[in-house]
Amino acid sequence: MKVLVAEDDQNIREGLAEILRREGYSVLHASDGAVALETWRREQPDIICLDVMMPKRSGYDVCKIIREENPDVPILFISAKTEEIDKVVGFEFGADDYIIKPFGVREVIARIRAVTRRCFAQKSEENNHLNLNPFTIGDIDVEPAQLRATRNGSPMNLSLRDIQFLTLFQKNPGRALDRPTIFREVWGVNHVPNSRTLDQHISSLRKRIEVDPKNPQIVKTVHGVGYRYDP
Amino acid sequence: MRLRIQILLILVFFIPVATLTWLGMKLIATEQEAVQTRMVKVFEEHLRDSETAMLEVLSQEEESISNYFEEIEADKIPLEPDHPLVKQIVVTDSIGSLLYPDVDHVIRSTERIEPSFHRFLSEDREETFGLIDGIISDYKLAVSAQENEFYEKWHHWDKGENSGLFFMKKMESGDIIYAAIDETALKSRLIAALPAKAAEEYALPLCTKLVDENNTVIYRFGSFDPVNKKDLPVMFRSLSSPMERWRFDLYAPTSFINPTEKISNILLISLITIGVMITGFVLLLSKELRRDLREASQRLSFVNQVSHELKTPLTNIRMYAELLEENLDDELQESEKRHLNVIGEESRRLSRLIENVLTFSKEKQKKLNLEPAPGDLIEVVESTVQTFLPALKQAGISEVNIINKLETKTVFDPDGVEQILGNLLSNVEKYASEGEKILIQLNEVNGKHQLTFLDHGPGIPTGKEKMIFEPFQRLENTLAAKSTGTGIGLTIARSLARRMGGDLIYDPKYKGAGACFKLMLNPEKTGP
Repeated sequence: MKVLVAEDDQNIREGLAEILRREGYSVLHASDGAVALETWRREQPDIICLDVMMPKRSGYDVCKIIREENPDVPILFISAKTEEIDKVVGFEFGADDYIIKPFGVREVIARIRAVTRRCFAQKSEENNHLNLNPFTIGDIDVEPAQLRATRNGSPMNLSLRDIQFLTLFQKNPGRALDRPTIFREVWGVNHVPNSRTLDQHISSLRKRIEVDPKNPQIVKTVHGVGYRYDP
Repeated sequence: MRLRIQILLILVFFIPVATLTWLGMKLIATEQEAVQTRMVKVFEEHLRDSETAMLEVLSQEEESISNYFEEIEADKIPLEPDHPLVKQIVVTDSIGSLLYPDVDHVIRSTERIEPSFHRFLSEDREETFGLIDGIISDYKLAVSAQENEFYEKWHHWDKGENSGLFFMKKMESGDIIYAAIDETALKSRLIAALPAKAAEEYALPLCTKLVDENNTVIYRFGSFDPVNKKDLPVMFRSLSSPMERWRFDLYAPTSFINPTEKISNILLISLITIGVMITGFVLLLSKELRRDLREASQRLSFVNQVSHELKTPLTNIRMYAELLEENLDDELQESEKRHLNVIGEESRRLSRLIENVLTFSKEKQKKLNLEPAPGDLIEVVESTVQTFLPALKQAGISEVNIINKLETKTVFDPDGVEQILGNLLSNVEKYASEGEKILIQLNEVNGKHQLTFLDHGPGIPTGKEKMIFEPFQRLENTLAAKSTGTGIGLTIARSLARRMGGDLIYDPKYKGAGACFKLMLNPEKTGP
């Protein structure tokens, strides 16, 4: 899924991009309202994060124009403007959510996941290139459309990347997947492999789904190769 | 100020003024109409009196001529009558046969002959007699039953360029005497009857003209002098017989005729002046209001700008600290984790400080908006405490107990309560950390939902219980003071509580160690 981050502050923009990439999204950048509109029209992202106070065109203007062209694409405002009227104006322009600065990483993740779930509900499986049908892997039941897994009824929130990983492993039971394969399937063919990135993601995934992350039962390490799911 | 409001304000002032002006003009018009009616009566009376004066003269002359006829013996009718108005006498019998003058009469050159008679005596006598016949026969045919009405009356005679005035009388013998009247003499007697100055008793300057059928002015009288020759008379009166070829034209100053015009002009100028003044006032007022709004907008814009400028770097500090923490979670040593934790905590503290300052600023500008709604108070309390736990632990507070005895929902704004509780916890962290314990109780007291906040610190010194809620007041204001802070935390907390329909108080009667704050909020209304 593609997410457009329109924010004039470079640090915030890159920080948000990193959070979103870790979550499994491919990220498009825009440093002002005009670039945001151009990128929207060219790339047609699945989710849009807009700062309100931007040069050239404000986030409100960009939101209004995007809404006229596409009434369904999820839009989140990220802004320091905290007045009630600012939020009301934002929602009136067609935003789906409003995140107030300064925000925590977890807050952004929670909101972006909520928006993604709504996005899944709107789009078809083919458009997502993702299997949205629930499946079981190990002792957990995965609901891709809800970005959630449950074990004995206890829910675990998952990121898009987590779903991508689990979907890949579930489709390849008993097969050791090497790093290039995992990167190609999960990150896309153009992504430059970074071993540490993969390990960090797997580590995070294990913390969420494994009973004992240090003794994983679902996503196991195959030394010198990569990772494997043994049903 | 919107153009629409400006126009509305102008109309609000202008319409009553215009209405009053219209009523005034209406009153004046009504008054003037009454005056004009009186003026018309005066004019009519003046012209009637003038005509009456002339008719009286005519009546006198009729009698005079009639008496003169009585004195003339039939056979001694003078060729040159010695009555001042009679130029010539003609006598016919009752059927119109000429009796006098004799057709064979020889005219002596010294005799003065009326030109018309001269013609009949010379060449036009048939025609002249034809006309006389015509007059007589017409009258006989028209009013045969009342022929007497045409005798002892004035009659006009027209023949081409000639015209004349006759007076007819039927004698006892049945003969009819026609007297050709000296019109000039008669005219001068009639004019002499007219007043030299008109309507002096009315104190009105008028000009009355006696005008003939060719609009030639025969006579004029009155003190008013129409300047413009094209001025029309304000009134005219056609005169009765035998003056039916004359009329009176009455002239008066236009100010008499249209005084309202002058008054209307004055009122119009007044109205325009008032309108200009009102418009100027409204424009000035709107300019002042626009300036006030601009300044208020600039102040708010400044607050928003400061908010944005402070929150942007704060966002980066917090976000990157958390990213670092997550990225290096397994690799960090305890000290490094603590360092990152400090960065995160301080950024959150800075965030709260900024929020307090902005809230204080908005409160001053009456722009603080809260949306109290029913909810579970315990949820906000627990989440806020959870956020503060790391900082509290770092400050030495090892125990935070929360006891919830509320069974119904509370009406509150979550952000507001979070900020209130945040300020109380922050104060404990600053002033009462040596107490090591905090107790938060939620229960219903006297129909209110009460959050009791107890610490075990040094408490509030006696006499300073009210001071702590005043802005910029700290228990220690010196540079050497141990604790830091802006002194607006409790001010804001109380303000927020009151905006939610509740209150925040300090309970000085609390006997235990430390300070006791009570936040009172309203329970959700249920049932009828």
